[in-house]
Amino acid sequence: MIGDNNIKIKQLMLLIILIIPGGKYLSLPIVMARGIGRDSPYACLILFAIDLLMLLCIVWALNLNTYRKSVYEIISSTLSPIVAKIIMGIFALFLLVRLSYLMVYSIDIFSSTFSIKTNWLAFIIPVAIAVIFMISRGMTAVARLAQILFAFIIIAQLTMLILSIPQTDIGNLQPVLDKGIGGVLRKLPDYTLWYGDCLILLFFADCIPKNEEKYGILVAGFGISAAICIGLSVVYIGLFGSYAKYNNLAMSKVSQFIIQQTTLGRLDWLMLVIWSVSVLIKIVMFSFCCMRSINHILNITTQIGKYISLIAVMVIIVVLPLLTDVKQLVSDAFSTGWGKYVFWVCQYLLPPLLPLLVCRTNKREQADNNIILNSKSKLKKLVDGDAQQQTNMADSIMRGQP
Amino acid sequence: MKTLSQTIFDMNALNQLVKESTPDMRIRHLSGVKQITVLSLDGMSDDTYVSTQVVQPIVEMGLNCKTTHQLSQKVIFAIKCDSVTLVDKMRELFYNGYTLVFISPDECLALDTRTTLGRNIVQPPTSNVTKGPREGFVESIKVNITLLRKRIKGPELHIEYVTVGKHTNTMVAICYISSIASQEIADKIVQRIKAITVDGVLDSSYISSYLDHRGITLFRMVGTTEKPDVVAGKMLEGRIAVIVDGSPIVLTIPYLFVEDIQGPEDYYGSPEIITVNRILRSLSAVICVILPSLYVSLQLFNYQIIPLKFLITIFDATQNIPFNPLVEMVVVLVIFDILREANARMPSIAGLSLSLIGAVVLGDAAVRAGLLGAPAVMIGALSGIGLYTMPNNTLLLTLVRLVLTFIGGIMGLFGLSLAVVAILAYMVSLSSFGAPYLAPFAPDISSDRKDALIKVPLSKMYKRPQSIKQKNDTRIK
Repeated sequence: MIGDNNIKIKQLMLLIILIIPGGKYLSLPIVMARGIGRDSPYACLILFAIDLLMLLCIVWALNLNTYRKSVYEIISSTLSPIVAKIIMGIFALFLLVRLSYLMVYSIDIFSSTFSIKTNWLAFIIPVAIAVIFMISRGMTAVARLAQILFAFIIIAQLTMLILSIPQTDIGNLQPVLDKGIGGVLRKLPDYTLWYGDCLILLFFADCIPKNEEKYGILVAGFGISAAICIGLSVVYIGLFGSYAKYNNLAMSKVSQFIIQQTTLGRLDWLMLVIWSVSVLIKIVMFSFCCMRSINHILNITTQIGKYISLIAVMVIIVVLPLLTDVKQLVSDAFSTGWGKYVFWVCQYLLPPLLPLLVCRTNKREQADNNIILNSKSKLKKLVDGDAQQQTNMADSIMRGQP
Repeated sequence: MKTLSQTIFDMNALNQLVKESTPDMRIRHLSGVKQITVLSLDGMSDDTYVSTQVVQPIVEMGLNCKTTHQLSQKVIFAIKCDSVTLVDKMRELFYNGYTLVFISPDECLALDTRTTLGRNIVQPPTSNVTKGPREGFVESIKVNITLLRKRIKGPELHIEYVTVGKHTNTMVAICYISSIASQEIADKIVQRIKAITVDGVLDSSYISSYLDHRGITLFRMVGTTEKPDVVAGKMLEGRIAVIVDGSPIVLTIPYLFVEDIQGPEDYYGSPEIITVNRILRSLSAVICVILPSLYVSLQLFNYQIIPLKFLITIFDATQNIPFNPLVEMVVVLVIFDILREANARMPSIAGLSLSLIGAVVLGDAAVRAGLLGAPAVMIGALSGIGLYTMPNNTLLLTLVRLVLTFIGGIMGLFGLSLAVVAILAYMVSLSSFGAPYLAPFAPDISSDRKDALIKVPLSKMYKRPQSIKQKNDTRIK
């Protein structure tokens, strides 16, 4: 049943730790190395710092959200339903773009690393089916799944990262910022699309149980995942230096350095498979949020409607790569092109505004509650008054008075 | 339900019961101030008890009685003696072994004269232990409740009886400790059992299917055991036991997956050794489910992962096999399952030797003839045996293993990882009467992990399992 989506803060934290590095390990170090060169870890650090500020705003808003309203309800009641639908539309597009890219690259891992001769569709359709199945079991189940798999994924991830460190060449990272920080800052806007994963927290604003108040651990979770991502970026540049931009998949390239003896076999592939589960979880989370956005836009509340919108999301991300070169499209239109400015509304404008909007929603809710309470007390008085009047009339009739 | 006075309109209850009589019905008419009729059922009622505690007192002292009340107060010796007016209730009690005494047409006395004829209490064949109590449940509900009562001596052991089955009138007892178990869950179970409309209930598994998760579920959501100490232990944790007359298997609810890792003698030994055993059981279950599929997918798609020397050995052993690795492994698994099924149905005298011959001859001959590779036979056998470390889910895991082998053979590591994640997602979404099926791992409940993979001493388990709804979660103050 799509709908059992209660998630505890602790589970959200684990999800954040899993999904942020989940996608970023695929190709981001390579994409950033192409534009920024060896200074890409610094760009990564700055973008994560900006994301941290946004996360703090989101966490603050979640903390204020005592009535557990959804983001759509908050925006709809404070700004207007039209604005809320537009923002949900931007979210849906943002998530679809990220999903398509993620899907293409995660399929690349398997089709180019593990089973080269298999048809591309043979990979993507099972993934889409698995995503639909997992969302149909509810996000509570996905959160619990993250709890079970967390240790295995993190161990696989850290093993790949740490065992590659001895092979890194510090010289590849130097000289540091030889073109100055300005060069990095100028390129930053072209990579914002790949960040903002913590925005998915907004879609769980109404799913967090009321007694859960420990939002600080979300920030801790974000810190851990940011550290892992920056670590990978550093290791990747350290391993490949000026050749960093010529690869396709960062993780599969980094992981091959952990095997020192060829007689041991490619045990790194097993770790890669375990790690790839985090990419699947990220796809599930993004698909769920995308489905929720569409549901808000189209006012879908029925189960069948939710399934249809979910299947529609899956169909889009399966069909899109058949029609166009997704990597090129995303890069030209949304990463470096005009699209990024549209997404900034959700990425960098909405989060700072959100605490304010939540406060206004709370005030309205409080006012509504007061009106209801007042109406109830007036009604009670009226009923009591009627009863008293009827009693007086009955008394007067009994006494024989008109 | 018709009351007797309604029935008398066309036929009184006694006549109705006599008219329905079966060859094993015993009728004794005693003439006194009023005619007294005693009805009992041959075999189901204890003849000696009926003669000495019912008939004899009536003959000696009760022929002057005019009412049922007088009979029960002054004459009948039997300890359980209730007045019944509903025909259906009379019928139900009569066919369960109660003796009915009629003095007036509108009511009878129902006396508990049920015989305890049946198997002796022995060590259950499905859970032998080297340490701890050896008593096992039998087919008699009376004996089974006594076994439970021997362990939980106090007024808080609450037992509720329900009769199920149109033709079998099977008695079902729902037992729980009223100060611990959740009343809400107990009521829900009673309601579900009362709602069962079925021709007959011959075993607790009939009831189990109604208490399972609503809709189709692969995994079992109701626990079973043959050991009274295990049931008592589970009841002390807030679970509810369902005892069915005629079945030595007692159901326990809610049921969590982790219970299959817990063995019957885990609570009578050293926690450290038990911890090692539990880790071994879990590992073996995981390995046994995944190993055949992993072997197939590595051979077919990703042989680079296998270390070189190992790869050469496998290549040597499999190069002349006429089947591809998937077919080879499926054949091995199916042969193993055939042997297991045949062994379960063979007479016990022939069972061991024949299955041994089957395994040795089939396995060895197939390898020698070059039909199957030795690694596949070894993996299949290890996987088949290892699954028995989780006895409650063995058959299901066998099925899961076969499905995973197919997926691994068709889609490689990619498909295998997807399938494992999907199965896990399915498992974590299950719950048994509000208790998450994979608790305490998902959701993570730290206090419950003291009795999951790692077992801490009983003296440190201050709380009852938090994953199960209950009234009182303090075990040790």
